[in-house]
Formats: sequence, structure tokens, C-alpha cells
Amino acid sequence: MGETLKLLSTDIRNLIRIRWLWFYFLSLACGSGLFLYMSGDLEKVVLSLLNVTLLIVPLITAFFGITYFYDSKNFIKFLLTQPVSRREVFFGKFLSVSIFMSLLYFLGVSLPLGNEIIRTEHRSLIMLLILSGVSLTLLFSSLAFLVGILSEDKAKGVSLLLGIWLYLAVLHDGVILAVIYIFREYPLEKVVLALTLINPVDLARLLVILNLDVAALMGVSGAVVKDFLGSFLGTLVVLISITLWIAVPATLALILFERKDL
Amino acid sequence: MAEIEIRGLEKSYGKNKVLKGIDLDIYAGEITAVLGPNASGKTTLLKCILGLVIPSAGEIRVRGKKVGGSYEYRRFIGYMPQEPSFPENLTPEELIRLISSIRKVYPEDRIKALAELFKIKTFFNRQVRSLSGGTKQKVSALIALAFDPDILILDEPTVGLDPVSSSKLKEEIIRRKEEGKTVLLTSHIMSEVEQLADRVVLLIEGVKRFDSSVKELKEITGEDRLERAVAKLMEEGLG
Repeated sequence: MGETLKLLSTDIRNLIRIRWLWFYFLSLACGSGLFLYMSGDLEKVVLSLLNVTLLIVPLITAFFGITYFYDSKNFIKFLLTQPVSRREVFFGKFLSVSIFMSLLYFLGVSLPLGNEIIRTEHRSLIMLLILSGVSLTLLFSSLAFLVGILSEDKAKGVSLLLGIWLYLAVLHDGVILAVIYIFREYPLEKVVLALTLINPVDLARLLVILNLDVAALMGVSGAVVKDFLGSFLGTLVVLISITLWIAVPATLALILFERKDL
Repeated sequence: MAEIEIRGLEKSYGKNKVLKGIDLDIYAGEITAVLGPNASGKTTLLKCILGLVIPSAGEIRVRGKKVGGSYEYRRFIGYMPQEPSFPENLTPEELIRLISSIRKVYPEDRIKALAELFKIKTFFNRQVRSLSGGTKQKVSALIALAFDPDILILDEPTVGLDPVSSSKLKEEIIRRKEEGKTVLLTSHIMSEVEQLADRVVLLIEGVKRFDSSVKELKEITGEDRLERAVAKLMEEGLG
């Protein structure tokens, strides 16, 4: 644990000096500020930021996470010639990337909206948006490390991860639409619910959307989903599902890393 | 007792057998050079000792401690990779502090002396990205030597170094040997091996083909230059 903290703090020092990441933070902060300036309606601001959170945040996290992992590979090997365990080195690297990226997202969204968080009744809505963004950051960091460990080839690894991002963020909804269209004669609420629950990006979207007025536009399936998610069991399932989506790839990555030839 | 004992070491990547039953003892107070053509298994052998590569079969013991069981044995080892790769935005000072905190000792005097020896004190607070390849190699040498390890594992240690630093590093390696430390190195520069090594181990296609002193190697091959002697053995081995 002690070694992990030493590696984590040194690695965060390295990350702080990557200007590109501060550009990411500034873009988020400017975007949030601009949305707020252009629309006085906080629900609309959250909805706009939600689109950024669901598409851009996972993409940036995934791309940065995997390239950083590949670029750090030789240093990771060097660290492992020192008296430190593979587990500690893995956690040092993984936690530094996921915590730092989450922090940038948190600051990028919460600083411009700070006033709204303190003063308005929409506090919980903004908190849910931040929770979604941080969850997706953690999830795509763990996917980045898993793919980086699985694939020795940087080009293949990056392509595979971008493929996963494309599927989860864009194509999965197409699959749901196709299922709804093809089986339109059948009652599909539970199927749609199940398909939604297996996609973490959809879960993050639902967490926020179901607390907005636009949820009313989601039709019959929306009502079923809202009923389910609104219940205690539903909330529990969503939380477990998101946690599993973060923990399973990270655990798999750790197990593979501990047995891998470097 | 040997500092490093290797018994029946095998390593395969799929169907490709890289190491085929290596038995080797590395002793203290000796510089052992592992030689061989490209893809002969030299780096894999070093990586197995360091615990970076997990052997398919066989056993390695470093100072009696089995490699693979624990990572603590690496406290005895100072390693210099062929191409050092450090985080671009950190400074050598921060890197040395990190390794010192992992090793739980900050050998200030030795760090100062080595920084003076390699003339890198002025680079201590500059980010790695602004350092030349040679300076990074010197930082790597400093880290390998600063903790006064009992075993030095050096992979092509002088590649990228200027003649002055290369000579200083070689003197330092010889000094460590004379202090009774164990040195294991690989190099393609035969004049360097001739200058440094007491013993030569030749690997060809994952098999140990020769293991003897430099003097014996010259006698057996009838060559008076190590470069010719090794080339002769490699040609015979590959043939």
C-alpha cells in the first residue's frame, strides 16, 4: 500500500505537467461556462453537458489512458526491477490515471457550475451528472489498462479500445433500436431494460435523464425503465452494474498483469 | 555458493523455445558476460533473473532466494536497461527520490559522488524530455550503482555513452567487482567484454554453448583477439 502511494504521487506529478490534459480541463470548464452563459435553464445546461459526458469524456479518457499506458511500459518494466510488487506498480499507475482524469472532469464541470450547485434546487441533478462522468472516466480507464495489457501492439490496442468506445457510446443504441423495430409485435420492455443495463454508457445517461423533464418523452419503455430505476431495487442494480463495469476490467487487467511476460 | 543459480531454465513463447534448459552459476567477485548473436536469448535470460519474464520450466535463485516467490530479492540487484525510459515530465532528482523511497534508503553521498563522476548534477532538476540519450543513460547508471547493490545486471551498459563516460562507467564496474560484487552484463562490443569480463557465457539459439574464462576461450579457439574467438565459436555453433 505504501509503495502504491509513492508511485501514485510521483505519477500524478508527471500527469500534472502534461499540458494536453489541462487543455482537456479548460475545454470542459469553458464548455460548461458557455452552456450556462447561453442558457439560463439549468436542465438544458445539464442535458448539453450530458452529451459531452457520454461521448467525449469516455473517448478522451480511453485514448489518453491507453497511450499513457503504452508510453509508460518501459518505465513499468524498470520499476519492476526494483523491490516492489507487480500489484503495487499496477495500482500506482492505474489509480494515478483514473483519479487524475476523474479530478479533471470533476473540476471542469463543477467549477463553472459551482454557484448553481450551492444555490439552486438542481444540486442533485448536477451531482448525478458528475457521478456519471466520474463513473465513465473510471470505467474507460480500466478498459484502457485491460486492452493495453492484452495487446502488445499499440496500434491494435488503440483500435480495439476505440472500437469498444464506439460500440458502447454509439452503436449499442442502434442495436436496441433494431431489436425494437424487428420485434415490434412483442412486448419488449424487459428486453430493452436488460439491454440498457448491460451498457454502462446507457446507465450513465439514464441516471441523469430520468431526473429531467425530458424523461416524459421516453415513451412506454421509458416509463418502465423509470419505474424500475426509480425503485430501490433499480437503483441498487444500476449501482452494482456500474461498479462491476469498473471493477471487472480492472481486476482482469491486474490478474493478467501479474502473470504477464514483460 | 553462487550469487545467482540457474537450473534447467526454459522459456517458450508459444511454439518458439527461446531458452532451452540453461544451467548457470554466477559468482561474486566476477564479471560474467553473456554473449550471443541476436535473438539468442540473452535479454530473456536477464529478464528471467529480474522476474520480468516468467520461466516455462526450471528455477532461478538469487542469493539463495527463489525468483518468483517474492520481489524482495531485487533489493540486492542494480539494473541498467539497454535503453532507459523514464517518465518525460519528471526530473532525475524526482526519479532518484522515487527509487530511494521504494528501496527505503537515500544514499546521498554516493548519489553526489556518481553525479560528479558522470557530470550530471546540472541536469538533476531538468525534465527527462529535455535530456539527451546519453544523459538518460548516465542517470540510469547512477540509479543502478547508487544503492551499492551486491549484484549488477547491465544490458549493453555503454551504448549511447560518450568515450569519457563509457570509460568512467567501466572503471566503476571493475571497482565494484574488486569490492566483491557480482556483475552480469551483455554487450556486443567485444573490446569492452575483453576489458571487463572474467568469464564468458555464450548462448546460441537458447542453448548454452560455452562457459569459461576469456583466456580459455582464446586458447580453445586459437585466436588472440576475443572478437575473432567469439565469432569463430558463433559460426561453429550456428553451423
